Amino acid sequence: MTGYADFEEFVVARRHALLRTAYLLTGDHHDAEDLVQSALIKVVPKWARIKDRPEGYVRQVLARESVNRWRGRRWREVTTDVVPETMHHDSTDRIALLEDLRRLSPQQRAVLVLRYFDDLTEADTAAALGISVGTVKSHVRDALARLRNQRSDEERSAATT
Amino acid sequence: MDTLHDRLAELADDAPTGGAPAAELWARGKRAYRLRAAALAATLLVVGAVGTGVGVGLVDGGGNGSDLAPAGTVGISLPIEYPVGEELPDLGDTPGPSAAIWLAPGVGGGAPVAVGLVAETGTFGTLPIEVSYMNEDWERPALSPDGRRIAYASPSGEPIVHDLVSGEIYYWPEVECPGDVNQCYRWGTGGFTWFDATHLFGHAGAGDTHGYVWEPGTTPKLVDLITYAGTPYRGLYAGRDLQVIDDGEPLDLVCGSPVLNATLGTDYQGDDEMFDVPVLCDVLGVIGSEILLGHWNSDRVPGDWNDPNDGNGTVVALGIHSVAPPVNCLGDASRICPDLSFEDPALRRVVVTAGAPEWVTFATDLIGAALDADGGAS
Repeated sequence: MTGYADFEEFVVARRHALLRTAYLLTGDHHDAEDLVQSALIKVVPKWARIKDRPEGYVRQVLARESVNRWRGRRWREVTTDVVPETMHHDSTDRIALLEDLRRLSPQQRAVLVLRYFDDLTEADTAAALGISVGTVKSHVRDALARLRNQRSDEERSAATT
Repeated sequence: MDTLHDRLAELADDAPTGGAPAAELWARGKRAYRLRAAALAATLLVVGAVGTGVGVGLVDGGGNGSDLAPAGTVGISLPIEYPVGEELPDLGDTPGPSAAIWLAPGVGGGAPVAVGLVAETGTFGTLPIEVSYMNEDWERPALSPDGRRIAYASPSGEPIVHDLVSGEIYYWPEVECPGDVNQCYRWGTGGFTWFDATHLFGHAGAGDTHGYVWEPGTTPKLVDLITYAGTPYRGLYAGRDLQVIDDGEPLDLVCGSPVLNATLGTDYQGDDEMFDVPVLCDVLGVIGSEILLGHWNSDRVPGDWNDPNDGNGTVVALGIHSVAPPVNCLGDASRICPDLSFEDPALRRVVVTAGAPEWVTFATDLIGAALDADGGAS
């Protein structure tokens, strides 16, 4: 296994960008750091093969890992009858978007992040997640619809209080 | 901030900036690789050893404290013709080992049912397990290699094991937690992998380092999958992220990746050669170290290789040992590199004919025995 210098160079240069994507995928600082770290560790055995163009593969591992992890932890999501009091305006747009993203399924969230943050094509998004282009399209459609509905609900709720 | 991209970018500004030094990540990656290589080599040896004993009859899990499976010949023949559209009998709680189980739509559009193929008799019928809530690929039941036990998760994530010989049902509503609540996961929600006839693995904990292992007569125990002796370590897809050994290294078979594809074969030395393995993107089972089961996707449409709804249910057995890499595709990220060697009929055997439901899991030892009876598959 060779190429540590290349690996280190990549980590130094690209870790922050990976953390940004990971934060959108997880919505949590600790999880984002853990996700990036896990992805980087996973690619080490393959580094000799990908070192010329590692970014795509690392991001693929990152995206798939984020979806896989959720599979084992969905029990942590808690439903509640209590409506959050937080209302979203421009100043709290980040919080609102973060909450909206958290309400999406992990795969919907991953598709949305890869398409609209990392600017991958539908085909590249499909390849990164190991799903079909059709599934990417349907996830995008459903995710955008859910985001729109969530914001509409919030705005209605704000208007009545 | 009008576009979604802008809003996401602004949100990403809150991302953390920390992380372990590159040297530490590198060291941990190398250590994990060495341990996985050792574990995988052990896995292939054990799987191979189990496979050699199946041709003469069904085998018991052994040493498990539960009832012995009745001896008998494998009554199935290949290719399997799934009884599409037929109303099937209820197999009851003790039908005996199954060669395969499918998640199938109910007759007339009813709720999905689990359909089993009884290995001794070749009879199809419905199995007494609830599957209507299984919507994802990783939720499908896992069938042990000897066909005796089915593992699946309840709707709320608790592991359930159904013994098709004794009728025993094992169920664990509570599992231990490895400390930090954020590291505590139920082990049924990530899918299962049967390493052999008596060892069930399920992932738990952060990342992929923790998992539960269960064998009949014991309670599940939490282990470190990296260091646990005998771990199959085939990833989080309950056996569907396959790794193969190439030149001493275990490699993921990554499907549809524009960057990294897979190198197959245990004796191929060309480290720099990589090629696509399109039909293997949906690995349904591993028989020994040389045969894989997967859906045959003759269209080879990029992005659809992993889609369980893409295809017609045809399952093929592929001998990978003698597959030769066709060309080096690494230089072109946009290309789909054809692997024509899989078109060789000598390397492809139809296990299930077209028309069967896509969601299927196999008792790989029993299918391997049936392949042997039909003259081998590789």
